[in-house]
Amino acid sequence: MIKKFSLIYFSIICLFACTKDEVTQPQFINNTEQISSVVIRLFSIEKPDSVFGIVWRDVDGFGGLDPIVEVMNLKQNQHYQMNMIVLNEFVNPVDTISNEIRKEAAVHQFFYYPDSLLENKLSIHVIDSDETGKPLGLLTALTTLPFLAGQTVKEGNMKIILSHYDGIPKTEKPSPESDMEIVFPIKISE
Amino acid sequence: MHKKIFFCLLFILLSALELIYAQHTQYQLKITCIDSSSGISISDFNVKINKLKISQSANPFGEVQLTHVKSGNYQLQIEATGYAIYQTTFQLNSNLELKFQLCPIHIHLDEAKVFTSNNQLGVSSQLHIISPKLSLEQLNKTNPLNWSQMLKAMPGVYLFQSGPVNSIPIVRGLHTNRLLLVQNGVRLYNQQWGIEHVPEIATENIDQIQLLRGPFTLKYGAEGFAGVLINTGPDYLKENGFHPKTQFAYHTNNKAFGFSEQLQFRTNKIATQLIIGFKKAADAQSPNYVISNTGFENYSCQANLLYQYSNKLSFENKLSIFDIKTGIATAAHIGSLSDLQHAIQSNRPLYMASSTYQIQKPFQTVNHQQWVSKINYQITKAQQIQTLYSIQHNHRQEFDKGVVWSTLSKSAAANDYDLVTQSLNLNYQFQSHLFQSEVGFDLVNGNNITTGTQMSFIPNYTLVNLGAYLTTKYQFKAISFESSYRIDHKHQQVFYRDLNNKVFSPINTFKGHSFAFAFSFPIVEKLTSNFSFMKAWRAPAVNELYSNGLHNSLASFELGNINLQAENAFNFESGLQFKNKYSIVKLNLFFNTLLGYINSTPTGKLTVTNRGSFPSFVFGQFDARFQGLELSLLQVLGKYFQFNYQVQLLKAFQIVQQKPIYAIPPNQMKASLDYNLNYSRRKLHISYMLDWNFVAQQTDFNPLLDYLPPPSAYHLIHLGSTLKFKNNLSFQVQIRNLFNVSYRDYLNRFRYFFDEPGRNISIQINYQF
Repeated sequence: MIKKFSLIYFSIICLFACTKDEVTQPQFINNTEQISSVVIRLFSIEKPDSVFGIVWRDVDGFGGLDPIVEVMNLKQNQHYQMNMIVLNEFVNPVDTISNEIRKEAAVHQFFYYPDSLLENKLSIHVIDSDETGKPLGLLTALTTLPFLAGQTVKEGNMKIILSHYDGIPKTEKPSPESDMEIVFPIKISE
Repeated sequence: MHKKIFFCLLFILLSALELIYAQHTQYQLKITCIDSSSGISISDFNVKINKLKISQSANPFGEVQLTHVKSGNYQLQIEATGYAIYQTTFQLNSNLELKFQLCPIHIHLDEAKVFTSNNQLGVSSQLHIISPKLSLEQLNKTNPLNWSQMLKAMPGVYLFQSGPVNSIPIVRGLHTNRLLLVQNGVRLYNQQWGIEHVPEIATENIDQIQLLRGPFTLKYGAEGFAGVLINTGPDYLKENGFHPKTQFAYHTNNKAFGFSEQLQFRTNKIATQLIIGFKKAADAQSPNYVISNTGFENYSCQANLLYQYSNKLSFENKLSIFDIKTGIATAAHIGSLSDLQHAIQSNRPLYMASSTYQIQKPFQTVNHQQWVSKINYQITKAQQIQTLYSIQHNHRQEFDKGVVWSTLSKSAAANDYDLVTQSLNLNYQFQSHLFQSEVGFDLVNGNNITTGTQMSFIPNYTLVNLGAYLTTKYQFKAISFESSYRIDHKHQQVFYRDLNNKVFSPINTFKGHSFAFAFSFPIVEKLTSNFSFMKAWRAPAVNELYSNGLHNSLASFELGNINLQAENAFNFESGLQFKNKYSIVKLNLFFNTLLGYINSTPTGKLTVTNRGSFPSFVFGQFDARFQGLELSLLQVLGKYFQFNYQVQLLKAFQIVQQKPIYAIPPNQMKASLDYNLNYSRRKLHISYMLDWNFVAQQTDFNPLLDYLPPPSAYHLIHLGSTLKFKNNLSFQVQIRNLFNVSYRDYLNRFRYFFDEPGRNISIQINYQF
């Protein structure tokens, strides 16, 4: 009786003792679904041929190397149209997240915050809107103001926040939860 | 309004019952016990008188006091761990004081009953001064919603919270991997590294919790610098039969309701237990608003089977399943550092909604299954061998709110941890007249698989731990000496991919020795002193070595450090206990030095992400000291009143830099006044309780490690009343935070976002058939 029981007992232990092969094969890290790049395309209303783009790119995700952030070089006293493209390059083919944001415009809004160094030097107005007429912010108008006498260059930063309104009404203020928060350096010259 | 009327009526009812029964006069009975070999008093025993349907544990003075007992002949039974069961009859025709001598089990081993889940022959620590133990009645004093909340009643335990319900215990400033949890006789193996990872222990399966300190902690592992929390379930029935027990509870604050059923069955050879429990809670409410998405759902099941093959051989199997789904407060779920700054600037949560039972994203689900199999073989009257095998499966899933563009996050978990751990323990125990000892061997094997849509804090890993220990206890009259030694070898291999998806599999190996000793001796009559010293060590945990991720709710980026070495603890504790007929005073002083204390420290750099720039923290090591004082007083005031008072002071700092350590519990004081009435003839027990709890403001903090200074001190008042009838029906009412005080607690990591819950009125009904 005891021998039989011991045999069953230790057989059960051995059965459970088998380890899983998955332990030695961790999942691929590429299946993370996050923003890898933000591309901003601008052109001057005054000079429609002068299209240029700048990029914020973090190719290794959270942590690791710092993101590559290009400087937004603007001219004073100009009217620009600014178009934002948000990408996930961790997947193949690359996912254009901004298309999803446009589809779900009712619960999203971009906010643009130039810092105090750019005060009275530029203004931004959202052009596009969701189906209820509330602003979205993928398409914006950026205006640089004319320099005062003696000024040649102005530098500062602009923070861009993508707010996500989940379960709460969309307002003129950012939501408590952001999907994205990045900063672009801006240089305004003559 | 209807709640107020209900409780007024209840109070009147209880008071009226009390007046009615106060008209009768009966005799008083007092029972005390001493050890027959040493002559010292035994403070932990239980008295059972079948005729009166009474089963009562000794009070902290080591006495069982019964009042209003009718004259007659009675048969009583006394049970105490480590002692033979004692049965006798007595006649009561006047007030009576009975003093019994209990024989240690090695002398009268053949008298020991076999139907017990607790280890009769095992070495039990006599150093109760440093190892507090609470019964179910004491643990239920706070009407807890989960296991951690039960520990609010335990001296020296503070809670590290993640919202209004989720919490983990913190003892003398140490928690998670430095505080071991034991359930069903084996260590709980879960994702214990996370401060928001609530232990998977069901309240329904608890009959007693002991915070074990000193040498005997080494039996369970070397890492328990803060102690070992041993959870003991209800004992098997002592007689053949079938006994169901039902419990129902309701809490007004979060509309939580719970139901549990305990079924016990015993024949001559077999004893079984089945305990099932269910709890569901809606959102918690602070005095001024609802804290959205803080509800939970919890199922638990415990099935135990003991088969007594012969007087010497027994087999026991225990299966427990714990399943919980917990909402994470919506207001605390932020996406960037700017969100945190907005939340801090606001006095109210930035997300509020009406209370609901629905749990939205973000939430966590945890399923923990544990199977324990035990074989006991009694070699001789004073020798026993035991094998204890367990397999535990812990599956934790954390669901984020996700982003609209993510298809995966709509269904898949952001973090998914699947941990399977097996442990095997061989234990040999032997006893002589003055000497008791245990020697054992431990083997632990764990495999963790991490998946999910987000980068995780820990990689896949395998773990093998080999350990051996020896514990001894020597007792001569009132002098007790305990010692233990343990050696461990830990082999750990992790598996992770780099950016090019190449697999890396580094191996970490650690080994170390631990030892401890303690002794207690009487200085003068009624005054006992004790000293204990422990040297132990802990290998760095996987998260401390390989963490690499963003803590959304803490708005910080955490990095592991592969260069970490094992940390070493040197714990010294000294205590005094004064005990007379009316009072017990305990004073403990402790100085715990941790060399190479592993802690997350700021790098001074920002990690730039698409969610903003976050302060970076990396796990580092420094020498730290945790020192403090714990004072408790228990005073009997007259016939019916009892006064309790506790003070806990703690200071923790870096030894070299003399800087404070992050998240150390503030000093606190507790006082309670209990009013107890026993009407044995009517089988009625009525008690009232008034509690005061003061938590001071933490003044030792490092502003570099926090976004806000610690919140102000606060006072809370709680009220409670219990009515027990015929020893099988009890009705308990509790009012926590009576004055609906708005406050924030320093050790709630969601304190940036909202207040603690407000007033809670809870009702608990127990019925034993």
